[in-house]
Amino acid sequence: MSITSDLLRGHTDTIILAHLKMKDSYGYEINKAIQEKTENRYELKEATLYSAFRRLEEATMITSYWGDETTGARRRYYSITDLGRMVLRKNKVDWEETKGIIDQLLKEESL
Amino acid sequence: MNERIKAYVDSIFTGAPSTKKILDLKEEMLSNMNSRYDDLIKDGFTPDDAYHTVVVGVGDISELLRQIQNETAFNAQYSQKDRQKNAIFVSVAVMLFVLAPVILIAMDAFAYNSVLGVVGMLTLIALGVGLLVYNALSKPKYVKEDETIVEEFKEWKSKNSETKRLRGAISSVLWTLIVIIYFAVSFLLGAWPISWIIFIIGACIEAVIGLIFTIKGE
Repeated sequence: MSITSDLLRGHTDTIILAHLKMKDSYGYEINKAIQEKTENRYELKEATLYSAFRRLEEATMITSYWGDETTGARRRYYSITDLGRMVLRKNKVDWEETKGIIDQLLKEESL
Repeated sequence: MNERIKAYVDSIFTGAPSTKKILDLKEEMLSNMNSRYDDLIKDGFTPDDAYHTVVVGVGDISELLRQIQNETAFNAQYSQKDRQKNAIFVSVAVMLFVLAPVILIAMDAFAYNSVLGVVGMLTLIALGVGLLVYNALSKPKYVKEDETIVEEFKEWKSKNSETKRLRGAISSVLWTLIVIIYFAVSFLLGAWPISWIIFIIGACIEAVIGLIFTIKGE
């Protein structure tokens, strides 16, 4: 699991962008979606998530706003920007390419 | 709102400055952790298990806190530059003030022309005052970094010293003008015996300006 999460960690930003492309969301909801999609095989640490939010917001790939919860602490929602969409598209293409290369390199030669 | 979670979040934020970014992060964490806790309870976790699962899920936020704090430190460097600019303006202005009478004396002694000397002196003084006033008005206002009480206090303090600065600027212009008028009247009209009264009038005007500021401040 530790090697897998190392490989996955490099794609945290892309994973978050992909989720925000569907709808505005907040930290726990994004993490829950990740857990559900991977059938509990992967889950981000909250600290990783907040660092990513900060990074993405500074790079203006996402913006944030506070929800209007009346009880308890307010939720901080994030929403993807046009730049974020562009980066996501590019990262997806890059990933497909990387996946292809690795697959090819690891393929057992069947001579 | 779960009290144990709140206590835990409070404990990891101990020692972190109360800036807006830090407080925002804290609130964001609280809401996310509580939502998760509620979901876990719904799924049949005991409160103890739910609490521990939530806490383990947070991970290490110390690196993030450090990053946010480093940003704040960046702000202080900026004002260092302003202080240097400020010092240059004031020194040049003082130099001009000191040089002003030198011109008067030199003109009087070597060119036997005291009117030209007065004109030269007053020009230098005017330049100096111009520099001081420009310096006072162009100082950057303290911009609140965050919505915290500390920042609000700093802004209030800065505003307070801004009025002080404005008063100082007005006062220096006023007294320079008084000196100019005094010399002009005395030299050009030869009214030395009576012209000292200008200083009394000046003191009066200064007092009135002080009064105006006091009334406006309230």
